[in-house]
Amino acid sequence: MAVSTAGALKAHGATSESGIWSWLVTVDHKRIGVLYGVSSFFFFLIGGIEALLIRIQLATPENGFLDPDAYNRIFTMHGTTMVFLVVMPMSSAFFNLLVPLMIGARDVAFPRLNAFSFWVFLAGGLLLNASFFTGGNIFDGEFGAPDGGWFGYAPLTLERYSGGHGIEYWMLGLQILGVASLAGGFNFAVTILNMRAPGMTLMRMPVFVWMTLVMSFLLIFAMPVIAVALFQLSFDRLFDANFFNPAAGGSPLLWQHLFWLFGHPEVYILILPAMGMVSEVLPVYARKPLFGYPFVVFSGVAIGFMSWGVWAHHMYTVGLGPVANSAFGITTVMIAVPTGVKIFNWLATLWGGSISFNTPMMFCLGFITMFTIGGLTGVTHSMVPSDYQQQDTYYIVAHFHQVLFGGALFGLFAGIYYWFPKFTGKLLNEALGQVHFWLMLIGFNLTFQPMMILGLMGMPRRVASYPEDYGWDLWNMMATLGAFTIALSILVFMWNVIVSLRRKERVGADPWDGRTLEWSIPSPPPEYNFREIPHVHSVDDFWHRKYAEDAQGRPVPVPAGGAALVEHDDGRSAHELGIHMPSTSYFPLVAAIGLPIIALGLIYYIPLVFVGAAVLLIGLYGWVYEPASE
Amino acid sequence: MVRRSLVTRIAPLLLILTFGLVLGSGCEYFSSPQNTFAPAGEVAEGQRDDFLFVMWPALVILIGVWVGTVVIAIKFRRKKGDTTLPRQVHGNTPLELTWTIIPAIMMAAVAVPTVVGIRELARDPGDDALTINVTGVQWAWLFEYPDIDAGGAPLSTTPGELRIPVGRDIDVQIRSTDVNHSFWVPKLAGKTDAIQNHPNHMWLRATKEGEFAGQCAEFCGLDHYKMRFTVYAMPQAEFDAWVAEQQAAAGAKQGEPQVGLATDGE
Ligand SMILES: [Cu+2]
Repeated sequence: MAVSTAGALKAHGATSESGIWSWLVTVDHKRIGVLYGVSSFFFFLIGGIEALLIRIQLATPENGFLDPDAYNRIFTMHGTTMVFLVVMPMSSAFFNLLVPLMIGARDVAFPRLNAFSFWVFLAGGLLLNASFFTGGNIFDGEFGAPDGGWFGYAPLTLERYSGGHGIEYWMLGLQILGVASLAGGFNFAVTILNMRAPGMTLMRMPVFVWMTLVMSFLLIFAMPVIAVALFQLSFDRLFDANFFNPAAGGSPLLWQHLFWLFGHPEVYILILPAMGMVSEVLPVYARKPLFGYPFVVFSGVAIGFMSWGVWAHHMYTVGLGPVANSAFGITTVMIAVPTGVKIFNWLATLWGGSISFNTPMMFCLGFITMFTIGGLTGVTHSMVPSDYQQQDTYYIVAHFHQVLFGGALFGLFAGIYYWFPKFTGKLLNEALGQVHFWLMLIGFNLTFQPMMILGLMGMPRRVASYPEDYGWDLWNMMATLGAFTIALSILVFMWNVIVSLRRKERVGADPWDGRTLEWSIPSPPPEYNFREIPHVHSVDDFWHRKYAEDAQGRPVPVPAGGAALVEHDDGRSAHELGIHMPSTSYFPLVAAIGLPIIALGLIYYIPLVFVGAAVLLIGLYGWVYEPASE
Repeated sequence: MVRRSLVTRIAPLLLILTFGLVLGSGCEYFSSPQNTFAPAGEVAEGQRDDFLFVMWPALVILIGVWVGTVVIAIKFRRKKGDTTLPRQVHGNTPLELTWTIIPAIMMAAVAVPTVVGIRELARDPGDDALTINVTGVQWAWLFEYPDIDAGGAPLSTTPGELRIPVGRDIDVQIRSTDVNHSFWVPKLAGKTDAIQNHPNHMWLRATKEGEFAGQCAEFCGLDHYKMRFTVYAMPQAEFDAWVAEQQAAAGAKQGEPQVGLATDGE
């Protein structure tokens, strides 16, 4: 996928530079988006293989396929990978690809910072995964990956309980990924607030852009919280500090509070972008505007604020006392309200529409129906007394997969099928898309609904094996079959991407009769996006350039509208057109390389830290003094 | 626009089949020594009832959303050859306020039993409660009865075996001496975490005699999955007999020469 997508972009005149070097030095938001998308898909395959290993191990009771040590490392990496290396960066891919196009900008506010975000993300992701080989003694057949769970509860992560370097790779890898997220969060918040085309007021922004804005602020406020926790853990492990060491008066609960104070906004960091995408895709295939745009926007903003007040629902059983548990139970139940509003507004968008069931639309319907299960199982968690039973069981595993797979991933796939033609100039194959969707939907239900039953039947999470006579066999086997069905659907998707990219036919600028600005420019977009910066007059501005509304609210084509409005790409470069574009730069990459070197220095050999710091400083120095333009 | 392929016809059937399989697998597959839906204790019963109190309305809403989605999708599908565009409705504030306020009221209704349930679980165990100290260690559960003397030291059990009388409040004091664990006997009561330097307590009360499986519910390292234990709930008389037997055995032992520190008890 990497090479072929790159090839597709390259084949078109849009990105005049080609070759690996041009990708290493690029500051073009579209190329960075592709880099994010391809890398996160690569990590998705790794995380998926880890999921399959977990499911093979649990398919039958008392299974010896994986020993408990390997199992613990693999489930830790599965969770860490899927959250930090898949759903977050895949959303970043879409911000990069779409936000500037949707707000009528030629790039993000800080293009080099954007490149820096990507390279830091990639460095963090590779460092984390390198731990499989380097965290332990691989020659003794030891996997060195972290073994503390994605939530890394202290004191289990302290050196005394987890030897080897796995946890160190985890804490420093996440710290590096946090730098990438923070840089991205600031970049997109500033881009959205400052780079909008004339006339694009906040309440004329596409919902996806709104959700990106909310998510950027969540990143800005949430990442420092986990950064503090990770610094403390780093000091505990590397320099014998005692923040979390109860034997020396440290507090294991401190870690839990910090982790979930980050961790719950994180859930909405993962889901809000997908909600934004669904809000963009539904109106196009229903041929109707989003029902209640302000309600959808403000419910998203409300979720953003409320996400800060629910963290302790991950901690009902740690003994915070009845008052705290009551308070967090009530906030948890209240956050369901804005989430429900979105579901109802989406259904109302479909009502009275003229609906086509293209693949992106199917994934949106999958999102609505499957995410609703996740939302409602979430409501059952606000019933605190009964949550004492479900906490840390497979019921919870089912719940957050309903949210993050049934929600976020279905939304992301809707986005992939919907915007693929915009960035490659080619449609994904529709029949293969439908096969992919149905296989994934069936696989999803077969995998995660049995887990709900398992949890209610008392199966705890994170167990490497379970006894024979506990009545859990059938459901586990079912979940394993489901996981392989999902894997099959992903193969169909990959096949689809390959076949579709090799097709000769190209699509025009606006294959879906789109509503937002990105459909008003060629596919793939030229390097400079808009030859002329558009003037925006309403929400769904491009649609309103194509259609007026008569007295009954029926759309009437504007005589000189539609395709006539699409800008033509005559192959002239930005320079020839007199458009100023940011220059390429390799300094973000240099600076990013410094960070994993610092991490390796902290793990193995302190002097290396100074080498890494020097590389980072050289990168930053060159970056700062780089001439502004060619 | 979409070709009605074989896939789109067969797939929904498969999906229904999937759910049928999940729901109709027969009751034998729903029995487990750790089934939270088959409680044998007062706390677990209340927790099951609380869960069902939310689950049934949630199920109704879920089915409502699903049926709604399917009905809307079928009713408003684009017919072949149709080139018209539908009326552009941008929203309806009273309607949207309605589906904001009604769920908010329903959610408030959930909050009431939540708070009541939390208070009930946080109540002090009755005066006749039997206190048990539970210690989670990597990877075993240790139990002792601080108020029952056995040869100068509190009575303790074989690790992984807890004996309690039926029909009496048990005051469970939970601690850890290493990483976090979580004490959980699904049929008797929900879990409470064992955290070093952070003593917790909970109460439970078995309503039925029997052996009940328990398991550590907080990931605690290599052998977390093996950190199981059994609770034997028995009539008070039987429990008393067991205690006497243990005390006698400990007393006999105490008669033998002691190695190490002398205890301060009799
Ligand atoms: Cu444990």
